[in-house]
Amino acid sequence: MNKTDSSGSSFSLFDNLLEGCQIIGFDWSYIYLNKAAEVHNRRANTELYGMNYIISWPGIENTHVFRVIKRCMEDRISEKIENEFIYLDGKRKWFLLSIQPMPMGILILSVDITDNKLSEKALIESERKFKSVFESSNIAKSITTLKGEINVNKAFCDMLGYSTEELKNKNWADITPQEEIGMINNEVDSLIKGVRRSTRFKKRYVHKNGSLIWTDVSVALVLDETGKPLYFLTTVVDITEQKHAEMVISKLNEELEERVARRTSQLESANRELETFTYSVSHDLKAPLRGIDGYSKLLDDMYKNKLDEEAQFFISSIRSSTLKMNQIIDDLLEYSRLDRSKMTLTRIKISEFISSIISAYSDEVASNKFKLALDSPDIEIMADPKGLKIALRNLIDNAIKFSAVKSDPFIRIRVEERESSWLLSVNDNGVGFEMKYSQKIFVIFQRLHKAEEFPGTGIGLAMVSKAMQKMDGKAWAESTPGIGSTFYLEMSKTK
Amino acid sequence: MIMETDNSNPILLVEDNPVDLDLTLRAFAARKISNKILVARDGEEALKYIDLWENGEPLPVVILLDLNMPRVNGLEVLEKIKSHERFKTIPIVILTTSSESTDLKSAYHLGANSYIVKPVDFEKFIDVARHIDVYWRVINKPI
Repeated sequence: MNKTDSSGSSFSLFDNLLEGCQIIGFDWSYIYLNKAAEVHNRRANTELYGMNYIISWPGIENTHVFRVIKRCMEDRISEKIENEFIYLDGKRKWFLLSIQPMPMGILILSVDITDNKLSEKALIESERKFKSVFESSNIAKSITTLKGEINVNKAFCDMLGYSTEELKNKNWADITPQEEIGMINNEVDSLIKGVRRSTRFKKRYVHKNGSLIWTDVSVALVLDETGKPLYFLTTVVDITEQKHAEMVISKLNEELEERVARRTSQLESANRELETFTYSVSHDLKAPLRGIDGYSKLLDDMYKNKLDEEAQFFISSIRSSTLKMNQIIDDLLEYSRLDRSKMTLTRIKISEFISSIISAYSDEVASNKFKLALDSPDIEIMADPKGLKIALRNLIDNAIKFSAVKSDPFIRIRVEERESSWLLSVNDNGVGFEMKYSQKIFVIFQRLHKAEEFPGTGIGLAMVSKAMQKMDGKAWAESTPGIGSTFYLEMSKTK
Repeated sequence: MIMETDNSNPILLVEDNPVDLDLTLRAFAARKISNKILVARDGEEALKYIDLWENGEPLPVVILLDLNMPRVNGLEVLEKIKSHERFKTIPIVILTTSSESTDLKSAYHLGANSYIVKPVDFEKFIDVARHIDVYWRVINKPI
């Protein structure tokens, strides 16, 4: 058969087929190529007619596809084969080749399947990647069938102490505590019903050694392109340590609460005891004092003319000591009451407040015993009225006492508003004290003077300090001996 | 123990402390209060007076009641008298050592009419006796 005369007419029925058609003679020369084959070969018919197939595809004789074609040529066996061809310029294309014998040689029908191949390849690649991510992940994962059969990675096996083999074909329910199965079935149902695409919950797994592993589980239902459920993808994070820590914390909290409750009740009972104690002190210490004072007075009244001057001095000393002790008891009671009292900060119009306190001294001021001046802006401050009154009264009494020896006693009370606090001060021109004692004077029973110089129980300034402390405020003093003292009360604005 | 000073209606003094008892009597004497002063040395003795009153003994013009007593304390005495149909009108003045006492609150709840803080200073004690004298005269004054 002649190459040239056989072309054109006899195979014209192939010309417009979408598949590539090429006929190769027994001598391996091209006899016919349709249009599609021209495209597939990326060469014109005219170029290929008569050309040897082996020469037109250099190196093809060593390929599998050539062996198939050769087998067909020689043994007359038709075959289908997918093959990737590499063009002379290095480009590649996949073809599905149908190779069949025919009288003058072989017919090769070719379909370009490059696009299919590529997406298939991409799919394989994506599956390979997924598998590798799934398998090598440090996070326990399972692909779980809709029936519940798990297919887990190594991390999952490690978490539960099983080998991959041991977990093969197991159901999730096999490694889940009985009491959690219902809860998980509900979760699974909500995914199947399409209520949600994914869900997350805390569950326990049973470790091979029987212990329970607390986990945080995320489950996503994977659907096919038609929306049909395929399988569950489960990610499991071991939170046993976290759970354990939580339990330890909650146990500690419980213990702490218990301890606080116990301590509170102890304190309450101690407080009650203290109240009973202070009551007893006032009752039982004062009764004998009444006796001492009463009988001293009676002795003085009824036997005055039988007693000489010295005896009368003794009696008056007994009485003044008794009354002093009475004063100490009263002051101590007041101190303990202050210590136990609750302070509530309220708005106080400070100028009016201090005015009402100093009005109690109006008789002494009127009789020129001392001068008393108030310098206060018209503002409100936050303080406990009772506590502030105790502090101010004690400071004023203190100032009066220690300036009484001066010829012109002058007491100045000032109120100053500062950026973050209110500062109250009581200044006198009294005897003052050395600054090294400025802390000590606020300590209960600490006195800097002999009783005959300045009477007192040593409780007054302790009351000031205690009252300020109870209001979260501060008390301090500055002084120059012989010149005078200034006592400060500071109340913070930030409460 | 009954101490007679006069024949008019008496004052009932309920006091267990002998010193306080003696000083109170002397303070009344100093104020020249002429009422008969009946004395009960504890709550039990005080409660016995209820029987006596029921049998026609004259009622006191005022009861001075110490709270802190052994056996039957002042609050129990107060409760018994103030819940008594006939005797609840007898004025009862509580004798206390501290106005801070929680017992004082209870005493008011039980119907105490007034209270007096027993002063250490005897001169003030005498003054208190005067106040009591004025008090019962006012409170018992027929309307």
